[in-house]
Amino acid sequence: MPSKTLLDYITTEQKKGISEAAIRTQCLGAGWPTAMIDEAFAFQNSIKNGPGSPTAVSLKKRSKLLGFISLGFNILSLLYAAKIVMLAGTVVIMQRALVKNVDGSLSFEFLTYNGWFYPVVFGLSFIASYLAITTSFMLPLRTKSVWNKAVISLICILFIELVIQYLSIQFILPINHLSNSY
Amino acid sequence: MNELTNIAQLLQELPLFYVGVGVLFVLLFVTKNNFTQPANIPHKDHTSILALFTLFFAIIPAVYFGWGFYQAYFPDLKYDEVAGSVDFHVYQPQYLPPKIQQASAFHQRENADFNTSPTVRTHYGKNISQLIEDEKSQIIVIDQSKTPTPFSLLAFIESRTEESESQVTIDPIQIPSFPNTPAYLVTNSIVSTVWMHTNDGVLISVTSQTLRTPTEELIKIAESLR
Repeated sequence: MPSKTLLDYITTEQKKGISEAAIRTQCLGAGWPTAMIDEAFAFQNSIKNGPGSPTAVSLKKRSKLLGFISLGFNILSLLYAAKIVMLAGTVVIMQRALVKNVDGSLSFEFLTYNGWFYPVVFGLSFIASYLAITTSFMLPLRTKSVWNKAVISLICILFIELVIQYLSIQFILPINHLSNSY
Repeated sequence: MNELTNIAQLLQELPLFYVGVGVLFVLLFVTKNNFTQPANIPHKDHTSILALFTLFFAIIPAVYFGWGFYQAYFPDLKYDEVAGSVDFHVYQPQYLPPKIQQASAFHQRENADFNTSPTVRTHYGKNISQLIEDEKSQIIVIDQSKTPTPFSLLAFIESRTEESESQVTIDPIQIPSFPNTPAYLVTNSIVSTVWMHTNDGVLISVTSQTLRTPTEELIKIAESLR
């Protein structure tokens, strides 16, 4: 939070119609460090673009919308975490079923067929989940870079999902073909 | 009721994931002008949550998958374990037909013919990728068990085949690597089996589907047993 004295001074001067550059010069002349002046102006701008700004949504609406965005990223993170659990669970169940029902079955033999599928989907799901959860954690900061990161994360997650869908089809098609041929 | 079914059907067909991501994109663009806070605001540290998240959703599953892959590509065929628990020599084939590999570990089964010892069985066949490529399975089963004394291989085979409904042919064969060992090739329309009774009292059968594995291959496998 910037200095209240500095903020009050900037507000008063701005009301008089003095330009930002002139106020900055005055503050520097009064001995305020540049970093504190920058911080005060940035804070002032964020308030301007906040509830009162015609381009921004109202404070109540904004917190609701940001809450929805955060919830969305949390759901995405949970979705991919669940995908990891399901993938690992499938492997556990298949292994147990083999050991229990097939005498002399070789452990994890099914991983030798298109074995790349499991680690690739697992890795991609973890990346997507991690991106979503870190974005969700960053959102309350509401900085420009957070917004950029959130958009990039969303694009990455969308791309990852498409890759997973494609890989799943590549993995399942031959098995369906084989079971149909029998 | 019909309307409810229709809504449920619509929800099932709707790609919810893509709709959700689309909504998130829209919300981000609507609130773009609210992301104007100064970058140097100190924020809450989430390192411990992210570390736990990484542990449960990356490290533990990765270790499990790694262990699974190790077991899959370096399988324990349990030869030593089984060979040590039975009182006869367990033979292993040195030759397998092309595309065929060991598909099961050495394992013991109840011996339906003699009470002297359990049967040791192993399966050989195509792996799943090969199976998908060829679309035809090929399974070879090798059974080994200790026989009581005295034992007549021909009498034993005849007793097993006398109730068979399909036509069975029993031909004596020579296995060069097992001289003076009685051996027979027993064939019907479904399966072919090479039977042999080794000098150390082990009854071995090498069986496969008649149409999928040539009898010469079965004999070659029997020859390569060590």
